Amino acid sequence: MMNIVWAVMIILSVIYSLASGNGTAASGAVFKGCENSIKLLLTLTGSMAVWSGIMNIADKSGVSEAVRVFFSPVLKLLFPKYRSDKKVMSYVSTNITANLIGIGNAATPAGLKAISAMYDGSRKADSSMSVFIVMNTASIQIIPTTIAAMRAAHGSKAPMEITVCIWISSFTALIVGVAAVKLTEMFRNAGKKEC
Amino acid sequence: MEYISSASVILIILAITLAGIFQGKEVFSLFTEGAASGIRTTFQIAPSIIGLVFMVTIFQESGFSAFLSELLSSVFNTEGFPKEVIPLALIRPVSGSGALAVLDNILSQSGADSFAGRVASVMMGSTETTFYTIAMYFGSVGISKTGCTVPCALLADITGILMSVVTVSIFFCA
Repeated sequence: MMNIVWAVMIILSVIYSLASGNGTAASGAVFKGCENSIKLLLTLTGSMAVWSGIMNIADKSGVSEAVRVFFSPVLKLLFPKYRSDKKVMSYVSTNITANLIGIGNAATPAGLKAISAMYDGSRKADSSMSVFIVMNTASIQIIPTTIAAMRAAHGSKAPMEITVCIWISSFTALIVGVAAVKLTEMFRNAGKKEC
Repeated sequence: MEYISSASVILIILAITLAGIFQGKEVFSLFTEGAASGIRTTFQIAPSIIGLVFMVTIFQESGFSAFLSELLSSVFNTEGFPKEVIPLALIRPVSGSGALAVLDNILSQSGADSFAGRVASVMMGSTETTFYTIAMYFGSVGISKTGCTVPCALLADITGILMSVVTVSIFFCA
């Protein structure tokens, strides 16, 4: 799927730029893209290193374990395959905690460890991985700091007023996404091929 | 409120460090060990990220992104759906910094407390850079068959986009 998305986006963009006489800008984009990606990676390397370091202390001193126990009831329902796998559950719990409190930088290393612990070497995504990634793309956050700050900067009278709307929207999105994965799995198990 | 939220980051670091010390762990050694694995992970996900950033850049610079926004605004020009937010809905799944720039633009053009401004804020908060997330997580372990992840994640995004219009309509227009 990612292969198709990537190819289609590039082909359509190039065709559009040629058709609209915008070819020079698109050629420039190739080099700009290289530059942007390295800038992004450098920023990412710093935050990944710091948060992986902090997370390693949390793992070895029982903090991650406490978080895992807290989320255990919900996670057993979402990830039945790993219900007794403490390693996977602990990384997933840490990832959720970091997302909830709005430290995306800390959620990433924990999430990557969770995926690598779930991976069985088959080059295929199973439904647990899909559920986990959909959870990460729904972006549930308790306090939307960045958005509130931007609203305040643009003269909002109540920058935080949209918080409840964000909770409802992202929670609904999460339920729909997870339900879609679970339903697809059910259809597959029933012998039909979906997606 | 904002202070609590930003202070929570350093409080968490403090709590974790204290927990390590009370358990008699060598916290600095643990930190460097973790940091080393973090750097290795970044290198593992680097190819996927470079590929995706390349795609996003060419999508925007070619003018195709603007063309699609224009096209979609005329299609979605219905009562109740603010067309100002369409560029945001389009860029959100592929680029976080791009989406922030678009949100900033909507907030300054329409006003933070306008209908479009509120919808854009909720939309920004309830969706994620889906393609980036998928590419990064699957790229890190080398999964190429992503199963139903992309359609399901996009379905969640569309739900988030529609719900941001619905919730703002209910909370602020009723």
